[in-house]
Amino acid sequence: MANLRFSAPRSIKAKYAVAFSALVTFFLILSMSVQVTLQRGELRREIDISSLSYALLARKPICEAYEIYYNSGYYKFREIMLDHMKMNPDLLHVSVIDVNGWQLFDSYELNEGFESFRREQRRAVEDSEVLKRVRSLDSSKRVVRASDGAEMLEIVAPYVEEWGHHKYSVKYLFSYASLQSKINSLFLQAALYSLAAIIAAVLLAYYLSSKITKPLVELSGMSQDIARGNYGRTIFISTGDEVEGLAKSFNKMSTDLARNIGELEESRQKLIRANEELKQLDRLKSDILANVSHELRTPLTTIRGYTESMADGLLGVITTEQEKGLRVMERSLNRLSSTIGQLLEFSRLQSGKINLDMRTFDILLLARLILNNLREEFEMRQIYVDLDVAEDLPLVRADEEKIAQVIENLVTNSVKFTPPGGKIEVSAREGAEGVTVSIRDNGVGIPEKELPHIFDHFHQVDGTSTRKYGGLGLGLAIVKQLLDAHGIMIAVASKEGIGSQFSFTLPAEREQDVEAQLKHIPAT
Amino acid sequence: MNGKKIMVVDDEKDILDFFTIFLKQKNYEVVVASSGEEALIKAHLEKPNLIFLDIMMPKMDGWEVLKLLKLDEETARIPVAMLSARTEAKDKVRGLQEGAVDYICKPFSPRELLKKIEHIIGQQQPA
Repeated sequence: MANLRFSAPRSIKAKYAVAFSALVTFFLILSMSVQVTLQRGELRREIDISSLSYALLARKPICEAYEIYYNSGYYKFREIMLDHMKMNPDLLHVSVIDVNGWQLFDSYELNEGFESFRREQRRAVEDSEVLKRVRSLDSSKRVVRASDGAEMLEIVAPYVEEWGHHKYSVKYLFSYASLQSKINSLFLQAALYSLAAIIAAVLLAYYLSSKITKPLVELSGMSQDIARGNYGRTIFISTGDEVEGLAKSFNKMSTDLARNIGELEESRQKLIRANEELKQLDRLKSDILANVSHELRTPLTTIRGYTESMADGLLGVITTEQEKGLRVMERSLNRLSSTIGQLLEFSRLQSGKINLDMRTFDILLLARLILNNLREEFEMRQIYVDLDVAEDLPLVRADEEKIAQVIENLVTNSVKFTPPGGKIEVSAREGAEGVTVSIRDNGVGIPEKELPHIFDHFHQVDGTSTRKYGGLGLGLAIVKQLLDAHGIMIAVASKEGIGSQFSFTLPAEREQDVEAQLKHIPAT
Repeated sequence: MNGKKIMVVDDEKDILDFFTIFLKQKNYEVVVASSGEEALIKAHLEKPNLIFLDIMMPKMDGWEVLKLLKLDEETARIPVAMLSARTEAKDKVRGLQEGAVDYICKPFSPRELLKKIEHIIGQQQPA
């Protein structure tokens, strides 16, 4: 609680309460001060007046009593004086002083005893001021201070006998004690009023502020509720003021939000469903493809198996004629196998997105491997193949399997369109952008008007029934798709009767690239 | 018989028959299995020198059989070559990663197959 005292009030309630109380307190203190000051003046005057009138009235009886009884019937005098003192509770002290300055009677002797005073005889008045006043024919008053600081009213009233002889004056001392107690009761009253007023002010402050804060707190709670996900909650406020306006706007916002989010959620659900369907379709396609692949290749396996075995004489001696026939079957099988392979590959590429498995590899080794696999074909067709790759060529970065396919397809394509005795050259050169791979042949070339279409699916240069060149027309389409997946372009240059050249550029992996890559490997 | 035993696992009877005829011609002893379960039992019993394992089989596929073969101490050291109509690179890689020594695509050339068998079994250490 200690730190609360020093921080500014935070809630509206507290702010109002503090403000109201401060205001009320200020005005109360102000009015209290004014009141008290005025009252005090009044009261004093009252006391002064009543004291003075008493003083003036009492001087004659006192002096006469003194003259008659003081010396002869002291106890009577004493009784009379005591009565006087009792009659006026404010009267503290009375003394009779003669014009020569001798104090003839002092009310203290009423207490101390006649004897002791009498023994001291008459005392002289030392105060010259008092003496002067005693001698004067006018009554006078002044305020004196007692040793304890209390204020007293001192009145000196001369006693003039009937024939004008001024022998004595009476000096009175009146206390302002009643004044003090009246002032005190005023203060008490004022304090009680203040307390009541402050309490009322605080209560009023709380009441007024809660009128404001209650709807605000409700609004705030509602907002939090909405934030948690209960869209569309509304609040009912009818205070008729700005807060009601706020509540109305809030409600509108809430319902709008609920509607919008509802719509968004619907769309989201739709998207999720659509996505699921697509995924399912994808899976279905993959399964179908796998199934088709299996169904096509399984029979081919046994056919090839037996054909080759028979051709090699493993299942018994065969005639030359039979052997020839079987070799033809073998070749046909290969062709069929290759076509099916292309079709399935094409299907696979069409139905799914192509994932690249990026590797760093040596293009020379890859090219050698591919050409080696096709060696029989080259021999059979009497085509001369040249591999022209420099030894210090940098490694390249791409999907090795796919690039292998690209090179294989391009070479196969060249083989198809190059007559016996022709030449195919596979080369790889380092350039500014990387390693450029080219497959060049001196075959029949591509007619100019066909050039833009050669990469189209199923495109055949000669599509008539008297086709010279077989195939599906997918080889180059596959090449283009695979290179597109890498973001690599394929360039073709060709002239009918002269030959064709296909080239593409692979990014080279230079040593600094490797180093840079190594730097990214996190320490383990 | 040259003393070498080869096991072929495939759900297609024609393929099993072909292998049997072909490999017997080359003096290999042949063990066949037409399902994964049969393969595991026979591999355990017969302890062949080489297993040809088809991937696409109903119930238990080739991958599962391969895993179980490698888990069983008795059969873990037998070289396994996958046989499949699937030619995708990732299948080839998976084969090698999961412990197969080779991945053969259908349709294969029996000549090539023989060379591979000699290569694999020829390398084997005597048990």
